[in-house]
Amino acid sequence: MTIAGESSPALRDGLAKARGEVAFGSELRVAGNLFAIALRSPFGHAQLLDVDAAAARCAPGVVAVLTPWDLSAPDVPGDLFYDQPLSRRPALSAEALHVGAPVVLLAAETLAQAYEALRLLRPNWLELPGQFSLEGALSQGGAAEALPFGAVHWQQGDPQAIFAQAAIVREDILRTSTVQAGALEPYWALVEPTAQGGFIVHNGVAAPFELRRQMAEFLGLSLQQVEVRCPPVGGGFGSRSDDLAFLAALLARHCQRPVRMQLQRSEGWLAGRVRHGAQLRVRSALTQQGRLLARELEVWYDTGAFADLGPYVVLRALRSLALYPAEHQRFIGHLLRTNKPVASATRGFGNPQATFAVEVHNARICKQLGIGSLEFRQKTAIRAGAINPSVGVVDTQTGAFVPKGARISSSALPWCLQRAQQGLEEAITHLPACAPGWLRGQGVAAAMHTTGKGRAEVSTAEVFWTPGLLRVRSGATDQGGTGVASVLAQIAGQVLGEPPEAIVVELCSTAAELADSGAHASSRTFVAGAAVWDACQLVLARRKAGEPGELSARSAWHPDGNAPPFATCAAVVDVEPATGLCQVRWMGLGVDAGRILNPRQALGQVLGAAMMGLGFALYERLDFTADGRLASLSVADYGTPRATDMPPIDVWFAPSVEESHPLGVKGIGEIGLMPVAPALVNAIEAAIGRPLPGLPATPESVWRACRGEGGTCT
Amino acid sequence: MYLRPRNLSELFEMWHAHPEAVPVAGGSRVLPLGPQRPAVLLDLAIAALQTIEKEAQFLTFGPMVSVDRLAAVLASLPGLHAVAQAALGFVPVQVRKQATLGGNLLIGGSLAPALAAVGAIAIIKNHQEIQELPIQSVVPVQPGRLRLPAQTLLVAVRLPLEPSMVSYYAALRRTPVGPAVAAVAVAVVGSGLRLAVGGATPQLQMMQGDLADRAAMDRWLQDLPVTGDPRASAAYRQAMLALLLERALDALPTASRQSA
Ligand SMILES: Cc1cc2nc3c(=O)[nH]c(=O)nc-3n(C[C@H](O)[C@H](O)[C@H](O)COP(=O)(O)OP(=O)(O)OC[C@H]3O[C@@H](n4cnc5c(N)ncnc54)[C@H](O)[C@@H]3O)c2cc1C
Repeated sequence: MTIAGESSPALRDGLAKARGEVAFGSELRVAGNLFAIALRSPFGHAQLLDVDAAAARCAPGVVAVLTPWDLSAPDVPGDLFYDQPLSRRPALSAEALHVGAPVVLLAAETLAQAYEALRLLRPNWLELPGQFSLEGALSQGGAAEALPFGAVHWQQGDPQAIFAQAAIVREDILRTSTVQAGALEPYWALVEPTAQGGFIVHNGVAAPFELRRQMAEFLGLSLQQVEVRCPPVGGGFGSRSDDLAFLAALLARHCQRPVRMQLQRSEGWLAGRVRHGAQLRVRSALTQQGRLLARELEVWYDTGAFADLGPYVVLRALRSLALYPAEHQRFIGHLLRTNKPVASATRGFGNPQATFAVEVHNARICKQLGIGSLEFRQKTAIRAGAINPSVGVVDTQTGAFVPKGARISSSALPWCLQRAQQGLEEAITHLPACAPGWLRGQGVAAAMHTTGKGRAEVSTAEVFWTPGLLRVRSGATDQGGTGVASVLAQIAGQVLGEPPEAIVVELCSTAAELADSGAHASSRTFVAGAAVWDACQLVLARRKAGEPGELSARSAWHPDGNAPPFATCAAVVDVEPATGLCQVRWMGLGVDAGRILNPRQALGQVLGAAMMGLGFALYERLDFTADGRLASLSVADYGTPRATDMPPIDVWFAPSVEESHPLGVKGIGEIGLMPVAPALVNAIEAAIGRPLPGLPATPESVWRACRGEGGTCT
Repeated sequence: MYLRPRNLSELFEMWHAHPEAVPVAGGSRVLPLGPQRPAVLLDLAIAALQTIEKEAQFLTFGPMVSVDRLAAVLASLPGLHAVAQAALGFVPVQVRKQATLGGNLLIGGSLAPALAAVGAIAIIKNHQEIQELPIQSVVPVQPGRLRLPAQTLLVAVRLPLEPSMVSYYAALRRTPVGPAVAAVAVAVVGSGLRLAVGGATPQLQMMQGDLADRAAMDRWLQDLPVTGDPRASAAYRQAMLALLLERALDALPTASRQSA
């Protein structure tokens, strides 16, 4: 493994975690906390007609049983889509809209008692018809649209006219599967009532201030009456926007006792959050020489029972279109409702699906026209200085997307493409020949993502300095080992010249009122890091001015833009046509994430993303039966790759500096994921010479493709 | 409740007193059940169930021998190559070290086709009697439902030490650690052949035939009740069974050379 970059300082929180000194949220207990579980729907769509809870209420240790008729549960407010509450959903309803939907809540003194009582509940269900697949939702046309305005759409120029007259028009339709984030730590929440009538919410949420806003509205309290604490999280990947905190809060309010709720792994697949399964259509018009004249991307994302963060997720598909600017472009993003578990903001935020489709389409174009994959991307991809059309706002009345005219200030994508090509050539010469009966293919793909949400992002930091002691307080959270504390310490230490052992970093609860928009969109170093840097600069100025005593400063930082990071992936895959088995022999990732502050942590992010991309590409899939129940039989069947399933991976960080940011950084947390699946599929298609229908590229789908039963391309 | 007998007679006494008790071997299937875990567990970790005995014509394993140990012991016995391959193909290694021969066989795990092909015998016991049965009669017919009568223990698995036997096992998975979507085990003694199939059918399937009569094997494979599920379609499984059989038959001469 090779890294270009600076040397790695010691990992601050990593060491403590490795030593087992860090208490994760799922280990958290408070004195006298009750244990809560939910009766969940075994059906994809059903009405709970009634439930005989008499025996459960009398069972040992049971403190409360809440049915939908026992309380008028308010809706979970959900995130706002711009100013619109499109994600509002009932916290507890007798109508179960997906398998695993909670219908009855139960709290007991011990977990065993809670499970014992759960067995005593006698639900009376009426199974209802529903829409249990994306295919079904697609066939419903507009009726399945989850957003009131229909599809999000954007057009530039007149693509239709170009399609009508271009020399080459190619269209591909690809599918990606519903997958789960696969965080090690289960979903959990613990809610405590306070003596003052408020609540302390412990949760592994990515955006504590947003949860506080929603919880206060949910419980009819002021913001000050709700405190959200986010202990270290054992993996989030964006998927912790579940409703557990709201369910626990209902019970905590009812019982006036702390209530803890945690999902089992199998429950987490149903009641947690998953990545949208998708159908994607990409159409391009080109000259014979491969100049891109027009492109159209239409996506249908399966959001499951509720929109949740889906409106934003589907919008982010636009980045893959923006990466290859054509004069004439069109984007249509549909969010379709099905009676399946709720899809939301899983790592990459809608971009992995779309990048997959666009990059596989690009490779097929190159094959069709006989032009080099890298050459096509080098010529066609967006460059520094260009307007990034994927940054903008949606008119929530019409669904029209309006670009803001944001300019890309840095791009080392050409470097990343070059490096991937070089790595591929080196790998090919070093790899042993493939086994008899196997074919070898090479693939490349590129991606552009985002760093935060622009001006809407905020992070607040306070810095306190006396010689030999530097205290940093931040509202940022450590989502699943992103190592944010290490980076904040590093930044503060460098500005104020203090060694690591003199620095204390506190990641504070919302009570500290250090507003932070949350650990999403690869943005914490970019936003929280800048806030710490800015506060340190203020302290530095006062120190230089000779001010005595402890010096302190506070900064609330809003970034100027959302500096897109770039990445490429090159891969070598061996395929056995007789079985469809694929073996990834090598992957190389070139990453432009601006200045790499902490190479070791950055490498961890890229390798983790590569692993997630490999699972997405080859194995992972949540299967549902025709009536909406989970058909994936076990974790082993689901197919998250293990460390031993990983091929050799090279990672190269581009020597890049983001001009628009004081530290020169861009986001690193997601970009590595995007190009992996298309690079792997491009390699498989190159090996077998046939198109695949989508993801995952299971042995059977590859075998079928080899027999000419493959993808949809017209 | 967790019952910990010290020997076989104590085990049956405890089981008699707690008929609902569920035996725990390696526990890799029973223990992860979480809240659905049985209320009374009966630990099988007693010395009498962990022995390995060699006689002139047999090798007899206690059911508590781990899959990993089984692989190690059989590695040097070419006639039982198929069982060693099946044991080694069991992933991941952490579970392989924990899981037992008995637990795997009784839930119809990866070892079952290989054990059936080589003609293994299951020895079962209740508090009154001991019975010897062909291995396939203890493998579940319905997934997840054990086939042993109530309060009956698998106490040993006997493998034949047949010098002229050669055997081979091959399996194919959809995901790195998922169960096989198709598995084929073949054992040949002289011209006699035993073929067992797992993964592709709801139950373990077996045929006995003649090594020279390939057409009969193909017909048998064609007529199997191969099922489709999210792991793989019936058509794919059917095709893979034919391919794996082909490979097994091709590999047998190599296996016999190894055994010579
Ligand atoms: C991560 C993971 C990977 C796995 N991979 C595989 C794989 O590759 N291939 C595969 O086949 N399986 C696999 N399994 C499934 C399973 O764990 C194994 O099949 C294992 O061999 C079961 O053996 P055990 O000793 O752990 O059984 P246990 O869980 O202890 O018992 C299984 C069942 O058999 C009963 N039982 C056990 N021994 C006796 C006995 N002597 N008499 C009567 N009843 C008995 C128990 O009561 C129980 O009902 C995997 C499981 C996990 C968790």
